[in-house]
Amino acid sequence: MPKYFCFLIFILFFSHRTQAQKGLNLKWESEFSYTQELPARWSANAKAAFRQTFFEPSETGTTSTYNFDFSEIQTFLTYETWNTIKLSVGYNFRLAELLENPLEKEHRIMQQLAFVTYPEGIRLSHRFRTEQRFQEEGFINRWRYRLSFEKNLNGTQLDPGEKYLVTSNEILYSFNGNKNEGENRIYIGLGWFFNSTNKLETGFQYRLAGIGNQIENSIFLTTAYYLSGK
Amino acid sequence: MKILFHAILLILLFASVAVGQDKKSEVEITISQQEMPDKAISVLQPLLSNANRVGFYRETTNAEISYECKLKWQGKFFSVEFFEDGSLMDIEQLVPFRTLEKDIKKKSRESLQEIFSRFKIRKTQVQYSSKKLADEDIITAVIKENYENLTLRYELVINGKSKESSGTFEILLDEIGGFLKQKEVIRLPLDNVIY
Repeated sequence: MPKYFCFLIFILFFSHRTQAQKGLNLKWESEFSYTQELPARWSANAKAAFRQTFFEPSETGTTSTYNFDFSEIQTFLTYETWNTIKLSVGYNFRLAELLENPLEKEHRIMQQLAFVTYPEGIRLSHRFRTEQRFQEEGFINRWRYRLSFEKNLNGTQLDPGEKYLVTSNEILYSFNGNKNEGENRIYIGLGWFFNSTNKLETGFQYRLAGIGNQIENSIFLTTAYYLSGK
Repeated sequence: MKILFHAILLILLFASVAVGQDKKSEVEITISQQEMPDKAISVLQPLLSNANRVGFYRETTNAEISYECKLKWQGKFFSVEFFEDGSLMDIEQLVPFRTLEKDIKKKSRESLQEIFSRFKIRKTQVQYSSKKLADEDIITAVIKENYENLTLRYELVINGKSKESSGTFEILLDEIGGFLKQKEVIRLPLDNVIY
């Protein structure tokens, strides 16, 4: 188990160092998510997210800046079929460059399959998602797969008031008729499970974007608050 | 604009904390061996002397305290539970479902089919207890695989689906696989890993 974490941390920082000469984006993304259980194995989720940039690449390396990149609202309707397999459809609306004029808008339609397994007291989550992104400059397809690993830090089960560790790796592939590119996102975070309806999670995510085109490195500080309704 | 968005976010966060407070009902924490009742440690000695991957836990359920020791002994995984005073509650041994006797497997499946239209067994534990034997003798009987004077039960964790619901359940079966009771396992929210 410790080897797994060491490997992830190594990848996170090694990837950063090898690309550091190109400069980094340093961003903060905050999220608020609300999930409501519905009758007959249905559930719904709504999420608001905000992203800001504090450092960006420049000719001299990394330069301090400030930009409110976007705010977005996302909704999902989910049906649990069987054995933790969840099928979802969703819609996302993003308003980008909020301090600029004109505002850029993106509409996104999403389809998702997710399921969880519990080997040896940990939680492994698999998420497959396809997206159709309608931006002002054109249409883009995106396919993504994320593997998440969660482990409580005390006892054999996660109880109210306890903390948990979560790591994930996500592979993304974007394409349309003109171009295609890949992206990889590695995340490590710490969560506070306040009770069965409230939890807070914060962590760092390294994104290696533009694989196949122009590489872009970003490190995100992420904070997310999750509220669930029974 | 920037200040407005931050203000909205903060309001949402504080509102959610206020809405979501609920009471703790069951909490399990890791403890050291010294924090276990002396009586429990004494009973565990035959297992502890040759065990690895040993963990001690204290569970509080609605103000009732119990203790648990999980360990690996000669390749077998045991979970030994104690009451607050250190007396033995039961011993559970993790086993693959397929290793149970043919008749017990058959009866267990039939019991589950009566409740669920579809199910998948995630975990199987054999539970040993006795009202006749002393705590030390129960441990010795389990070690020697002499189950004559022990009460055997089977605890299964399953993902089950019925007309009414779908979820994870803890099922307790008697020594021949007959249904005794079920308890729904509260699933932790998956919102952080699926959205």
